[in-house]
Amino acid sequence: MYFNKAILVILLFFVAHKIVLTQNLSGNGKVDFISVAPQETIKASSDKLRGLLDLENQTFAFVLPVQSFIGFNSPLQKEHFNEHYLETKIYPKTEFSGKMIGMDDCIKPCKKTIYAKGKLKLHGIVKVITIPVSIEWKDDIFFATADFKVPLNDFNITVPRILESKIAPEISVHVEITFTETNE
Amino acid sequence: MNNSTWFILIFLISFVGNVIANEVVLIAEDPITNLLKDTNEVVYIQTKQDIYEFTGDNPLIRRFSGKNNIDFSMAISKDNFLVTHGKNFSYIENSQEVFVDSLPELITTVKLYDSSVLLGTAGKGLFLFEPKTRIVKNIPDVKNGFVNDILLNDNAIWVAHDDGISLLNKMNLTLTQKSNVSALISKLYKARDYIIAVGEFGNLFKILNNGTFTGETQEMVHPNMKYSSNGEDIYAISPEAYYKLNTDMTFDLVATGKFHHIFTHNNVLFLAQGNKLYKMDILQEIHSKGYSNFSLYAENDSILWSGQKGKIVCLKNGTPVKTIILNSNLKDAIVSSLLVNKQNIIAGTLGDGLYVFDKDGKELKHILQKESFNKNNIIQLKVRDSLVWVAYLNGLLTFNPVDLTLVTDFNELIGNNYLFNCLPISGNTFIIGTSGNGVLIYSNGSILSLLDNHSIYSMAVKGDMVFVGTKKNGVYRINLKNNNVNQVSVLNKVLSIVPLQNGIVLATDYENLYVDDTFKFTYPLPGTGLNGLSINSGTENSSSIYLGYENGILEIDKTKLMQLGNVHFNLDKPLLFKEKVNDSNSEFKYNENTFTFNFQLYNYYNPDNNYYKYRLLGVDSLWHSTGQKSIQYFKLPSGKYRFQVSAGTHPGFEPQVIKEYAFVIKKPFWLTLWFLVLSSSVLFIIIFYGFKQREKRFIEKEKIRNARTRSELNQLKSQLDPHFLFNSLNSLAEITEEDTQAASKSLLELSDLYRGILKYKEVDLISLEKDIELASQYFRIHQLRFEDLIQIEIDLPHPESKTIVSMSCQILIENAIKHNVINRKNRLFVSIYMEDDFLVVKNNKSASYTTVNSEGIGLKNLEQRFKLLTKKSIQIINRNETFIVKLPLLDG
Repeated sequence: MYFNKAILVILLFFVAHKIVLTQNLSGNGKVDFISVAPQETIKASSDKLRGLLDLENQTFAFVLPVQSFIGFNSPLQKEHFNEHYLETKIYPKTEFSGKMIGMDDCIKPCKKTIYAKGKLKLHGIVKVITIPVSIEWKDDIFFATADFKVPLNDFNITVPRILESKIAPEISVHVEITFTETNE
Repeated sequence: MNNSTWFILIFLISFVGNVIANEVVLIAEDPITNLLKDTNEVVYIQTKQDIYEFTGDNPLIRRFSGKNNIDFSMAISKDNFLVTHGKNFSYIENSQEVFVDSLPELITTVKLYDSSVLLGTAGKGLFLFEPKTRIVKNIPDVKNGFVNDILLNDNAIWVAHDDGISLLNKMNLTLTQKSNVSALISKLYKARDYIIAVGEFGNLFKILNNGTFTGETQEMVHPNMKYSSNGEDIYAISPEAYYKLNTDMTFDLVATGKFHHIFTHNNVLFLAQGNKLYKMDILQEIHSKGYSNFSLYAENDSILWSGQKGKIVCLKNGTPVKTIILNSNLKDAIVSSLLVNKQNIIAGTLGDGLYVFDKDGKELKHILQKESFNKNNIIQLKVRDSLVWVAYLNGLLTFNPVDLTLVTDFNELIGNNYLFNCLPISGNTFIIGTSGNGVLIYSNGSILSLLDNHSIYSMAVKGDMVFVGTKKNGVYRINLKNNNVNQVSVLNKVLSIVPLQNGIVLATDYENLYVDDTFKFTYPLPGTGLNGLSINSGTENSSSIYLGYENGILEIDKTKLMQLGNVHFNLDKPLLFKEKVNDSNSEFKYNENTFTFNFQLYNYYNPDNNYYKYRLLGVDSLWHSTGQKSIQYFKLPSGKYRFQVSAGTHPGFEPQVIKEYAFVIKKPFWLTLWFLVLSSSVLFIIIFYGFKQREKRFIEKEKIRNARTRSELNQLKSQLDPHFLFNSLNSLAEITEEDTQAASKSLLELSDLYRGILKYKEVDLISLEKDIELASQYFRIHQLRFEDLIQIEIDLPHPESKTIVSMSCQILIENAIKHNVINRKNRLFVSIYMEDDFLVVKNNKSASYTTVNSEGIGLKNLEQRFKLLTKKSIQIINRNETFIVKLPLLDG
């Protein structure tokens, strides 16, 4: 709880002010997801991903407004996505914050795979997940990319049985984010 | 049974559009997320919002329904649960929510601890909730830790967190040590002798019960694995298959299937696929020991097929000659059953359906049902009445092996059971062994259920009896005629029953090989050298039994099977002077007299502890003991013999079963009875006759002597007859006065005569010449007296070449003179001539032929003498006017 509050404060600061923290990096990125089902494939993406890295504590925090996803196979589909499945009016944001594991031996320049373990909040449900992340840290850029699957059931996103052949039970998510050192 | 009600229930609780198949243990309303056990081992199924009680195959009873999604739940006691949602948790008593609280952080795990609950959080450490007091306590020794899992081990509480594993004291929950594994441990699973810690990032770590990391790690087969442990074995699922984790931390593929969760309860493995829960104990059992020969099929006396992981091996006389690799997506799919006929090999696999190959190994068909997990797990194949019976995980079907078309599908009959095996008996009867529901005998449309609550691991039919090996209750015998069930033995886990003509061979789990269907005698596997190993497949041909075990195939020669107490042993045909004896011969010549007997007790239990007793009847009747397997006899004398040997497993045993070899050594012919008898009788006869001959000769000699003596006597008598001398001398006296010369001549003749008589007195046979000379001399002497009143005529050619009895002529002349009156009126004419081989002396008879004094004695004597000396008779022809005597002559 305490930690979450801290993250929120930092995020707010980020939005409102620029903070000079040598080991803090902020970044922008994009999220793509794809649902491959027997009868339909749905793709959507959003470039509104915002993230914060605390390299000293090896923690991270990301946030994404769910309504920013575009793509889909039809506007109706997008509407259903927002209104029925993700209920974005009630849960506008999805957040992921936690620890970076494997950063101990990462000294710039460094390119490796680390793990991000943290709580993913989606659709009002918080779940602890651990995902592998490929990072590349050189010059001023910290680049991170990750691929993971989100099981819809885990986050209370129910798909009617009739549509089971159109929506995959697990959504594949692809994230790319570039951090730069924040300077004031 | 429950089948019909169960069917209805499934129909009711499932959604429209869902294909209903008898594939699962149960179908819940929602996806199954967890399996719970309370302190009394009551099982509950957790779904998204509900908790149901699960009591085997009864319908699910909802015990709790929550408003929120359930993250984690724990069954404390009957209908008492702890349910978490995010940071909050609810305590449910008697299916009612009676207490709600929240923790400072997201709850990541719950574990029952005594009757309290340990709760781990994502960052705030460990808490303890006591339902009775409703108090929540923080466990200080695990603070600020990101708790991932809690394990109640025998001696400590293990807490897996982001920094490793902490071991807490069970009594007061204080930290005792930290394990030396430095990794982010997300889950802990207890195996028999160690703990497997699943690292967050794909690795498994093996940790000893005292917390020491052994250094052994293993990479996960798939990034998203879920595990379950029954306290002994650890099973894992990936999105595509499920595995068993071996002691060396390798993953053994059990079967394919898309499962989401895996649970163990008692020793049963459950797999959840969405709403469906599958029970997996059969496959689990098959995998529990890691066999390499899962199925065996003896095609004939030299060819044996072995189904292994991912391949089928053909062994000819024990040597692999062909390997058929299964071309499947499932790596190392286990070939659980094999059938080989003249053209094809039919192989059933676990998880990969049914394959048909031709004898060259070419794949002819691969029957793999999409989306049917159960049908692709084939447990057994049997053939009967030219139909192939396929028992898969929970059903039975028959198909035509020629064109592989389905003949009958028995699904409705099977109900909600899982099969371990099937046994077709006849066209209308088959028997199914299930896991947990005993034996189902299907006959002509009716089903009979026997041995309820038993898991049937193996079955075999022998005559009218079906022998059923169960998981925990030993072996039963079912009489098919009257459906009587008898328990015949209490064994463990009878995995394979191979019926023989004269018994049953059972391969059990690890200890014994039973070779008798009375189950009195066992044959501990240690004697075969397979200490503690498990046997799981068996087949037989006409001469051997094959049992498949972990690392190979045990071949047992049927003729050498041994039953303790009723020993089977072998007595070979003896060796004669180191050469084997001709089979048909048991008679030997007198010089074939050195024998070696070899015998062998087949004692798998303790092969070095064999005791033998032997004896050779014909030499003595005492039993001699030996520990050797061979006995030799040198230079046996001829006679009848019976070599007997008996074998036992302890010294001093009583010879009961005796093997015998009877033989005869013949005597040399010169010792044989017939020969001896014959020769001795011949000898006896010879001796006897020899004696007889001697006797005869003696008698004859005596006779001759007698005759001669008498003749001598006679001769002497006649010669010393005073009348002859008187007359001779008188005649001489008259002549002397008249003619001195003539008188002197006659005197000389008289002396010659006497000289001749003296000379030949002792001799039996003289030459005719001499005899005639003497007779002539004798005659002339008489002529002195009678002058021309007597006349003789001798006509003998070659008288020197014949022999005659001495003095014969003289005697005949003497007789002639003596018996006839001689005067001017009766003159005597004697004629001596030869006729054939006879000397004929003929004289005329006078009118008064007298036979006065010693009548015929001289002639009789002569007769005798002739008989003795010449063996011929004289002929006497006595006519009125002539008297003829024919004397046989001898040559020489």
